[in-house]
Amino acid sequence: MQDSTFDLVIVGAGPGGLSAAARAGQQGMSHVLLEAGGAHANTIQQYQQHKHVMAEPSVLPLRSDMEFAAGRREAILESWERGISRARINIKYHCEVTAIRGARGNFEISTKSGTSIRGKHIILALGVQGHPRRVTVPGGDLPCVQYTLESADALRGETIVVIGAGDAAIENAIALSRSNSVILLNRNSGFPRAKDANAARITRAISAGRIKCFMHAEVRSLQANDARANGRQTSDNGAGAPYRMVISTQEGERTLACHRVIARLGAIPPRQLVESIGVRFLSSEPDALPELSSQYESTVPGLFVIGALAGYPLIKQAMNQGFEVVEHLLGRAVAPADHDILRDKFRILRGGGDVERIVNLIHKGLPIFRGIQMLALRELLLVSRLVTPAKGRSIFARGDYASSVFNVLRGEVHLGAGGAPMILRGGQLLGEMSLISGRPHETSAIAGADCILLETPHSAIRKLLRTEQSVRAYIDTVYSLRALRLLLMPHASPETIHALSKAVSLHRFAPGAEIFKEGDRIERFYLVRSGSVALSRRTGDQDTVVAYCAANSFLDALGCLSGETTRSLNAKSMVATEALSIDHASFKALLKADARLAAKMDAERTEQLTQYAHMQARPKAGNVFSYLMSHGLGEATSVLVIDETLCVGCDQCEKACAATHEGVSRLDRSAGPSLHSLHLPTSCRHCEHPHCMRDCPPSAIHRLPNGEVYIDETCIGCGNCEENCPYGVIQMAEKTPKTSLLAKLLGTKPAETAKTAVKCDVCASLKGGPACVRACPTGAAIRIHAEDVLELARQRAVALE
Amino acid sequence: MGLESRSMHQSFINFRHYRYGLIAGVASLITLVTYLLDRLRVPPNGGTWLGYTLGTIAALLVIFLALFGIRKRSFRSTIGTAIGWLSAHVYLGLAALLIATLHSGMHFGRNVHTVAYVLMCLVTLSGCWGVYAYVSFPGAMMQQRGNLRRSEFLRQIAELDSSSLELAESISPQITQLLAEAARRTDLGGGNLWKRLRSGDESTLLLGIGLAPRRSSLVSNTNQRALIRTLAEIRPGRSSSEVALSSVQKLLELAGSKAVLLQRLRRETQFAALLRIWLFLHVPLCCALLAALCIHVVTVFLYW
Repeated sequence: MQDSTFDLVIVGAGPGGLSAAARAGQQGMSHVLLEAGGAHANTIQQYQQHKHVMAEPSVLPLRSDMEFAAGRREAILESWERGISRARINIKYHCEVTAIRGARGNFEISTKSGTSIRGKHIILALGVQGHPRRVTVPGGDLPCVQYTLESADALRGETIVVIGAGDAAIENAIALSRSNSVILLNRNSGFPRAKDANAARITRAISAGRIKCFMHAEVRSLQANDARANGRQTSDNGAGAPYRMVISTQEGERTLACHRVIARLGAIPPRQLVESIGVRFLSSEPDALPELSSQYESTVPGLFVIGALAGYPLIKQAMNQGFEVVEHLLGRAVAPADHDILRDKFRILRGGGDVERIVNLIHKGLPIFRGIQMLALRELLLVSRLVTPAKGRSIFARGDYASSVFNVLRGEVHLGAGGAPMILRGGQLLGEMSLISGRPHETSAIAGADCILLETPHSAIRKLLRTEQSVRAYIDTVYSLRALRLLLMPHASPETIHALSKAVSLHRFAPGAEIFKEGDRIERFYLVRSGSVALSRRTGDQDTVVAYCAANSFLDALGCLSGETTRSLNAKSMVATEALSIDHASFKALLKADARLAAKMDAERTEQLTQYAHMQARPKAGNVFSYLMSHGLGEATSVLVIDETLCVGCDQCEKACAATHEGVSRLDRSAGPSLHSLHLPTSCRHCEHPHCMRDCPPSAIHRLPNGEVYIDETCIGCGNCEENCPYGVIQMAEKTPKTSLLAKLLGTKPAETAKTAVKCDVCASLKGGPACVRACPTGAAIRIHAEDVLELARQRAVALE
Repeated sequence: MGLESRSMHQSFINFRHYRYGLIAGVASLITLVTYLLDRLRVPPNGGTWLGYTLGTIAALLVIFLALFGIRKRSFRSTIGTAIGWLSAHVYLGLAALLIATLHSGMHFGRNVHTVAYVLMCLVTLSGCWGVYAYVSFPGAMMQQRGNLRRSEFLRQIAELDSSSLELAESISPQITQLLAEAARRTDLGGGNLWKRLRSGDESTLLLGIGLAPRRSSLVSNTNQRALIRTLAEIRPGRSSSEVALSSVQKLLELAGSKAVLLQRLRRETQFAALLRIWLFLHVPLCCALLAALCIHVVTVFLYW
């Protein structure tokens, strides 16, 4: 191999590398695929046995000579194995690249074994998983330390220390805890890096005692026990375990006995190698991406970077990129894989037009997306759609629940909520208030002349919000401006609002967090942006809830307007809550200067005082309220509440639910908590920010304008929603196809179908509304909204007296 | 967010501010006044012009009332709601009896017509009992069980059993055996409808298994009385095993708590059965009424 020169050298036999090599092999291009390990697709080889591998983004077509579809790890690896021989891929295993020198047409690649390979072009498809972060403490090189876990079932009865707080660590820990005693070491507290479903799963496992977890823990050393020590000095079970680990925690050092250590500390991107070739990166941040052209060519001509290393962690993306680079090298013009889909989407525009030009226009024209990568934008466009409503047509109506946001590409949109409409033009965003609050639209939006809008689902925007600081900042700013104008000063000039928005700060509160308490100095005036807050007053040794503030309402306007300097109420968030605030002194100055604002706030005060009087007179109402709130009614848009003084237990509600939902009732009447004769059966709350929607890989969960949250038939049965639902109302149910009488007589069993998630859909398909409520003969079953909770509590208190 | 006084839960009695009560009341009043006025003209009789009118109205009402049984099971139906139908069923049912009575003109005899009328009275009567049950039992049931579900009752009973067994094991094998037997032979309620209605406790206890030198016998352990008595008979400190007084007291406390829980559980079961039993009368009687009504109508026209 010393003197051979290949047209193409591909480094890394992951999905991207395999796909590139397959294309080269098929087209007869001289190539070599270098793999550091002993097998192809190392990362996937290291997945747990039988893991379901997904093929996201599902709308993107696959372009590769290798097969790939969602399925079990084993099936995918096997099909690639076949693909390697079929496509005549020239693959070299155990060939770790240590250096690359040279330029286009004459690269020299050195490997660890000392050989050197020449190539005209190079594709780096290294991935980022191949280099796990190692345990560097004394004893970190002992044989008991491993960085992967192939099969959790192979281990039994061991004490295993899992280090890490990401998805891999959590998944390993949970799988191992079934037949082993697992200790999880987390350097921080909580699991912010993990998927929501995994974080929920591990938190539950820890609180149930199935897994022992040390937070703020670091490994200090690891050593083998001599036979006599026998683990007696250790503080945790695992007597007789062959290894001893010393860790530091906040409470001091501890010693753990263990049989095995699994370190899942993430991976180090092989940046050093890439940089040493001369490839420039976008920034000096450790997770920065290399600078690439639209053909994935790096700043070193002739050297291409694809896959996770280029910032595209999904298998299908990497495979498409491998294919596209080879096509490009063969001198063929390749449009990106999403080209046709986007072209169809853009067809609605007069003259259709050039996809690239339109994507560029959107990128430049919409400030919300200006800071994101082009490919991230294309991914977003794949799930978005262009709409061209006729002049005067409603885009959304006040009171509708939202499931998408809109960006004005051209023309104008009139936003109205009484008073003069606000006119939005090209580049502006609408629907951000509902996106943040999860509540219905506060305004109506009507299309103006020549209006073109880009409609993007909430789920896609939320994904961006999690990763893109620029999108977050933009939406926060727009929200502040609009909320101040809409909720506080509809009459003020844009300049005044703009100046005021500069003084606004944003606060986030965890569920149950104290925002302020009685006797605190009034320093800030809050506007609840999302979530809800209960205001209470201490009488004797009891907290009496006296008011409730949902999203888009002002917190303790009473106190802020009273001229008092200290708070007379306690404020506690009921669910995860966000609030805007301005400092109290500026607010008071504003009130003095603006008579219309003063009048508006006076009306707000009267309202809050009325509520206050009602609640204060009935401390019991506060108890009922707290009970309802503690079971998720603070974020509910439609929740079933049964009055036990009316319920005769006929189960008509359940029968109706089953009869209208393929025989499976989505509600369990008798399960669920009861207090003060109000029973909350296990049934969906249709939350404002549905927990189930957070982490749905195929985006199969949607919300309708009436607030209802439903799961469509694209559900893959991954169970994330079931895990994420804090109220336990989603079940994984097998679809049982109806068997004919003949089949029954012949004893033919219906084909086994995969389980999918089912939940209450508030009988979307039924004209009359939820069957459970309509079927209740005694009026015991009703569905209420979070806003009705206070009234329900008040009525219940009257009934109890 | 204002405190608008939207009514949250409403029962079938006051559904839509007694809408059907008012309709039924007004209809009853009109028929009664017409009847009384007509009476001055001709003697009341099912065969008069008014008699036929009232009879037709009553028959149509009976058919409408019977349709509730179908509507209740049509879960996809959009014709009103179940609660509206029940409310109408109750009030119009009462009105129907009045109208039928006026239709009869108080002429009763040993004939099929009177049979139909008597059946109608029985159906209405059973229905009235049903209304009473629906209105008063759910609240009473709630009082019985507090905020406990049936499964929680069972769990608590099981917990009491296991703690008393645990305690007994530290005392003597005989007491352990006694308690284990008592637990095994405890009647948790349920069973056939009759038994549930009676709320009978068929718990038994096997006595004389090593505790006393008498022959073993199976006695009734209703409300755990036999067990409590047997435990009370243990003389603390006298036997060779020196049972501490505190242990015996603790066992008695546990048995007492279990008896109370069992009683509450059975009472709840009884209520649940009472809420259901009247339908076993109401529905067949209604079917009989429909049959009798058909015969009544046919014969009337046959002998026109």
